[in-house]
Amino acid sequence: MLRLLTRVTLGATARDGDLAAENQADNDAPLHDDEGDDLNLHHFEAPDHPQIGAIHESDHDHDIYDDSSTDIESESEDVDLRENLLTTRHHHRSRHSSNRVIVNRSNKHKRKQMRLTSRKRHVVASTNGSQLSYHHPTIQAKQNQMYLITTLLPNQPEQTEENLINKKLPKELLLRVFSYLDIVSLCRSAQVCRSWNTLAMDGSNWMQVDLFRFQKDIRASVVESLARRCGGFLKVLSLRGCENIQDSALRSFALKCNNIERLYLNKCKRISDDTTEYLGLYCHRLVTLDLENCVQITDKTLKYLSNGCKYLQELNISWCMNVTDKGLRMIIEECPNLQSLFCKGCEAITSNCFAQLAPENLAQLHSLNLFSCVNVIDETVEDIANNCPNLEYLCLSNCREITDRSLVALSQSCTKLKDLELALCSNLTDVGFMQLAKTCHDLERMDLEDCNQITDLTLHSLNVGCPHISSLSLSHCELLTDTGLAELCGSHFDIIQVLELDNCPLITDAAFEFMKPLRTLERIDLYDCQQISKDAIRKFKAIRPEVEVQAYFAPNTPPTTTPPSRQGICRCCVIL
Amino acid sequence: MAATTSTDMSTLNTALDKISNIKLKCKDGKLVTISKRIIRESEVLSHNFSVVDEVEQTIPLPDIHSTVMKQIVAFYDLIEDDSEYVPPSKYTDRPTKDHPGVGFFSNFTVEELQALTHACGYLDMPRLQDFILCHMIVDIIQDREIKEIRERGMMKTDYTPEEEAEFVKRHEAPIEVVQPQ
Repeated sequence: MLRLLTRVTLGATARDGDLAAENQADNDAPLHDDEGDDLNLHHFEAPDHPQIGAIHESDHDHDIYDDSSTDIESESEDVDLRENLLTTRHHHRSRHSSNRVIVNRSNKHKRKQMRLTSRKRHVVASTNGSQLSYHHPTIQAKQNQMYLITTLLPNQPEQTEENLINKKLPKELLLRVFSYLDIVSLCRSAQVCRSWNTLAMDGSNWMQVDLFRFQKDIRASVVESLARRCGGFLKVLSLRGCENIQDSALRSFALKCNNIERLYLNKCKRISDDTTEYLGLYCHRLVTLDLENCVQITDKTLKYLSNGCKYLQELNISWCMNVTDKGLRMIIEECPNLQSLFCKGCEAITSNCFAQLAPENLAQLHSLNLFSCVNVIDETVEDIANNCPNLEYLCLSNCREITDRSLVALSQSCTKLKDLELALCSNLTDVGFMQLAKTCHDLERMDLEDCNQITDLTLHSLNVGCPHISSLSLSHCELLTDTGLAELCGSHFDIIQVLELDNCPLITDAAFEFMKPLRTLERIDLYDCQQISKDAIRKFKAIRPEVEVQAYFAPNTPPTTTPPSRQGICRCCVIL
Repeated sequence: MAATTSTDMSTLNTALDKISNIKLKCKDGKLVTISKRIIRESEVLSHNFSVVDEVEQTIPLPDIHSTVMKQIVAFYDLIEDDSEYVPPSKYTDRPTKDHPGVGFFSNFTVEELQALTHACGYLDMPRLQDFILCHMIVDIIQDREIKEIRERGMMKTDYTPEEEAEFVKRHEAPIEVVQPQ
């Protein structure tokens, strides 16, 4: 990279430009047709670039997958890229002489530019004045398409001045342009010409790679190529849903990309402890590891990680059924920076998993998800509460054994809780929530779906104790009435955003009266509320059209038509 | 992406507040008055702010011509956004045509653009770099076929026909197995 930067700052443009110009002479190569339907990984040998690889993906694929998935980490990616470019500029600034080289270079080509200027002005004038009649119609259309670039790139068929971008633009700037492209466009750029290949395949553009949209198309070879291409540059890799990836590919990846910080292997079902062994051995900087649905992994994985990845902050081992207390405790005890632990559906975890931990273990944990960990009981929650004073997010949904004791424990220790999910914990009652609301004043979001013993008393205590609640799910809380809701809406009128009230049979049309003033309301769920009428919803929507009201009313069953009376005439009688 | 750390920024802001009118002494000896925002956005200028002549309130800038600097000033006059520049995190977030800064450089000649490019490279102004050329070139490349990129960018390939054929061949095999070097 440093070499590249040096080349960039010392004006390699001219040198490469000349090289490109030399190559142009014998390069009337036919352009190939890019109609392929599959993701392709090109490996390509060229005289001056021993490794040129490119992934190509057609527009067809592009349309199928949702782009949004690639944006999840885009912000942090951008930061990384920017950091890298910043390095470039620091380097640039530290050598002011290099700027002079660029200036001098421009002087060197002054004569050429002078010649160019007149032509360029001509084009500019014609574009601005719309006097393009002497152009061919298709060219004119193209010129219109070209938006602003016309001034830079004369678009005349007889124009001989090609590769203007390469000749005029500092490579640093082109590198910046490439930093904005997604991986498909980067790979296409790499096939445009050799100098672009070098820049597009520069590691700084490949610090973050998300292959989610290709999923099953990603084979081992792609990962291996990527690892070779990116090497130590790669910091974030998402292979979510890439089910064809096997241990061998990820092992060679771990060997080459030692600096990986965030690795998402969600649903890579084929990987096993062999992969994590290499991760533990070589990728010591790992901060985030997502192994959700990697069903083959066992406690060995957690042992390797606890030995090698001491900086681990976020770990997701959801639905890895083979993980037991032993493995989890190793992680908890050896990774002091652990902030987020997701163990959804890890049914092998027992009730003693968090018992007798040292006070410093889990001290930094702020997110814990034990969704559907069936063995969790009140004692487990008490252990958690004692060890995790900084907990902000806790999900105990579908831990059906827990009772008000758990809520009391949480209220005593975890006073920083902001997000609490307790769906399907039907043993919880008003008593627990009253206790919780006394101390956990920061609660912002609560999921109490199917806590069907709670009454308006719970709403009252939340109303008093938790002024920041903005999202509340009360689905299937069948004892709640308009009174409780009215009180909550009255005091939280400028903060509530989401209310889920589906299957609350006692909520009536009157509820709309106090939901109208909720200024920040975005969504209400009212499925199967028998006392809510279609008419009331319509009136409410007329007043608050921006609020999304989710409700469903089955169409009226059509009146049963009386079967035609046969009057004793059968078919054969008619015929006869 | 912040050019300077927040503490540096606050020190700079305090220093900037003391001075009312900052001028740059350009290559041709002419003085160009610049806004404080330009100084904040340019990493080089904000770092060199200490060399400002307190009597004349000028910063020497011997590498950039006054005409180029005036163009930069005109561009910044056009943009009202006073916040710190955060480059778009992805392609789709780039400014649209409605943005006042987008059309600003469309009438410039290649030489002017080149001079501006060098100037903003020297001054290290990411916002300017993006508006001058980066967004335009990203427009040419993003979501287009290779053939189209070459046509629109007036690029000529320097791959040999054999190499091109190799690409095509590899397209036919859906996933290429690449042997490690």
